[in-house]
Amino acid sequence: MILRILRFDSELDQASYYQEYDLPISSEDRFTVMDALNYIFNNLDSSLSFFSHSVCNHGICGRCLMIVDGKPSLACTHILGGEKVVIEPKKGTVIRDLVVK
Amino acid sequence: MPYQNVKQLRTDVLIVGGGGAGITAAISSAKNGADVLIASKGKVGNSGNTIMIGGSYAMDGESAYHDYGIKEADPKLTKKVLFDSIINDGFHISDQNLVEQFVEESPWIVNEVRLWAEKAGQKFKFGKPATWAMSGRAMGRALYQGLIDSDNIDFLEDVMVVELIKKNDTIIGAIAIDIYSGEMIEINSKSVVLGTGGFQPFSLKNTNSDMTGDGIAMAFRAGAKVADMEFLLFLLTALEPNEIKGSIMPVYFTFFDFKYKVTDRDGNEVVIPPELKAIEGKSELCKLIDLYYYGKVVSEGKGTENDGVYFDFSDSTDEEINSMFEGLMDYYSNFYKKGYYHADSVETYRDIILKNRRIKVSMGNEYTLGGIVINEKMETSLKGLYAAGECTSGTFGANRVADAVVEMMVQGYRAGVTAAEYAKGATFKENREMSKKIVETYLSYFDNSGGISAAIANIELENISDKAIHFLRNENDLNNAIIAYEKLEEKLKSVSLHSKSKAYNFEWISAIQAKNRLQCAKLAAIMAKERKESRGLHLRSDFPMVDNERYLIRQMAELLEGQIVITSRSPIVTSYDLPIGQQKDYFSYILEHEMGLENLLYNEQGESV
Ligand SMILES: Cc1cc2nc3c(=O)[nH]c(=O)nc-3n(C[C@H](O)[C@H](O)[C@H](O)COP(=O)(O)OP(=O)(O)OC[C@H]3O[C@@H](n4cnc5c(N)ncnc54)[C@H](O)[C@@H]3O)c2cc1C
Ligand code: FES
Repeated sequence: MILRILRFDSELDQASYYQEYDLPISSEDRFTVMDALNYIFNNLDSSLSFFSHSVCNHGICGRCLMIVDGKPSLACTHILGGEKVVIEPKKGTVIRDLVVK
Repeated sequence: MPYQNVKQLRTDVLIVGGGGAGITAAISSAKNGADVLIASKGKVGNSGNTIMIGGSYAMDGESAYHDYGIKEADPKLTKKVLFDSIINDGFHISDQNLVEQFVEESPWIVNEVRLWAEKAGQKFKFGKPATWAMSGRAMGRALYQGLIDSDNIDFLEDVMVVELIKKNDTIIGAIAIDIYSGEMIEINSKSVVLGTGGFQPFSLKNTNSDMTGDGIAMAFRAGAKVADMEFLLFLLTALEPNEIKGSIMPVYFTFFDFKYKVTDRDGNEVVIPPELKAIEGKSELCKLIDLYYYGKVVSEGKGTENDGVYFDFSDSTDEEINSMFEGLMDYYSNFYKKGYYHADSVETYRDIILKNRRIKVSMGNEYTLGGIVINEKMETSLKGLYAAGECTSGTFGANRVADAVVEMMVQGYRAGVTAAEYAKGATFKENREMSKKIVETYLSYFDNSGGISAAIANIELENISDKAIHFLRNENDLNNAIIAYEKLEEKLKSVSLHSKSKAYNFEWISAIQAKNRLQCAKLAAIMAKERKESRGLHLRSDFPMVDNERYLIRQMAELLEGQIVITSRSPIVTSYDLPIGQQKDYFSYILEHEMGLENLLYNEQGESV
């Protein structure tokens, strides 16, 4: 499955850009967006930033909201499907990558 | 960013943590005249394990009935019964002054929180003897209501405190990192209250990711005593499907009388002797029975993938399974959208069982019994430092009997009072040299290269913990774990960050958390090794006896000249006589000490997780 993620680091970048990550998972694995982002952080690219501190992981705190394929979704409850998924930050001031304040 | 650029703040009382312990401490400190600042890694009232609750909290029935006029309460659960059961079911190593404080002071604050909940429009469902069931979000919102009704409390959210500042054995403030900006902050305060919650060193997680033992580890580094680290509470936790992994939904199966067998990897039934089975689901001791029998399967290499067992429903019809889940969903619909537990789909879970007739579950670490040593005023062994809630030790001994959320609020409220009183007689102090050194140490993470990554460090830590301090423990695994933890400690000294940007650099935060988690896990392994017996939540396959002759003690650790020194002492006794020294096998001990409390400590559904 390909994750296409909008990235931006205010300390390094002039503008945001998309980066694609190829994950060895399919719909059957029932990965949530959060699981996939953690997979990237742990195995592929630990510079990727997303809401990772104070994570409840069960849709309780409501803090991991991002835009998945154009729709606002909680990363920890949204189950990934399909071949390619686009992930973008929610509205607001982007601090870094998918982190918005 | 040199030290001169570090943001400087001042407050009478600094509260670290925005869960229930931190919030109640802030409220009582402010009420007692202090200017209060809360620094919380997550959002105040929306972080920590406080929002993970999927159960209930209670006061004794006697107080509920007589003092708070709750006529549906059952006064048979008296203060004395509660006091005795905490000590008895905690295998007698609670400090009884702490249990007294819990029993005497909790009814008022429990009632207060209930009123805040009502004001905030949150649902709390009453059950006998005097228990309120609710969701974690409701608990968070209730506490937040209490907070906004108080004056003189400021908060810093998404700010992680990393180290305490000390001058001549007195705590005078703390250094923190603003997670979003990466900015470092020095907070000078007359006193500090830690309400940072527990630590969770395993790969299977049912807790909030805040639970990295920061408060326990930084207090320990500053010279405070910590104790009872070998006692970790495990609860049934979902392993599949992936999106529900980590949910404690399977805990409810015991309360709701679901019919299923438990089997190992090969489908062999895990047999729990009938006399023990009889107290399962009725007593707090059931968690110990599950831990032992399921843990044994895993320890003997007969567990499923990811260290679990199967809940096997092959003897039930579709109709029976549907009806079990219907009852559960009806109950959950008191607090959650119908068909859900928190945001996890109960229907999905049911459908997997309908299709496969079995589902993998394991035991996840839900609560830390050990932590910072306190007395009944929440004073630690360091002047100016107070602690409350899950980051403390001593109330529940070797097994948690009563509610952790009650512990957090009853201790939080008391800690706030004591810290405010102390602040009245104290002045602001500085220790520039130490502050500067702390700031430099944490910024130096950005200078390392070629070392281990924070992600790998955390994964290694989890692997060591999964093997040695989960389930049944033994000397050999514990020895290996201590060596492995020490090796990892060395590697962590040169932990390297791939990204050098300070803004939301989770590698940095995660590296600091790894250090704290590791400190706590290592202390747990050392104490587990020293305790050559089985007691409460500490089960040793090589020492299966409860040994009151040698181990009716609390173990304490302290850092003296950079070395970990372990000591032990008898629990503090006020009115409950300790059993006389003897060795007994674990389950005879449980059967002998079962108080026949039956459902007294539970509400009608019996959920107290
Ligand atoms: C799934 C689950 C279900 C549970 N159900 C129940 C139940 O039904 N009944 C019950 O009684 N108990 C239950 N518990 C246990 C109970 O929730 C906790 O013991 C209790 O909420 C702890 O409260 P606390 O305030 O001490 O810590 P927490 O609520 O964990 O709060 C800790 C706070 O400290 C902050 N923090 C941590 N580190 C730092 C740092 N370095 N700097 C600044 N801030 C920091 C965190 O962000 C958080 O705000 C459950 C626990 C879990 C995991
Ligand atoms: S992390 Fe809390 S809702 Fe997703």
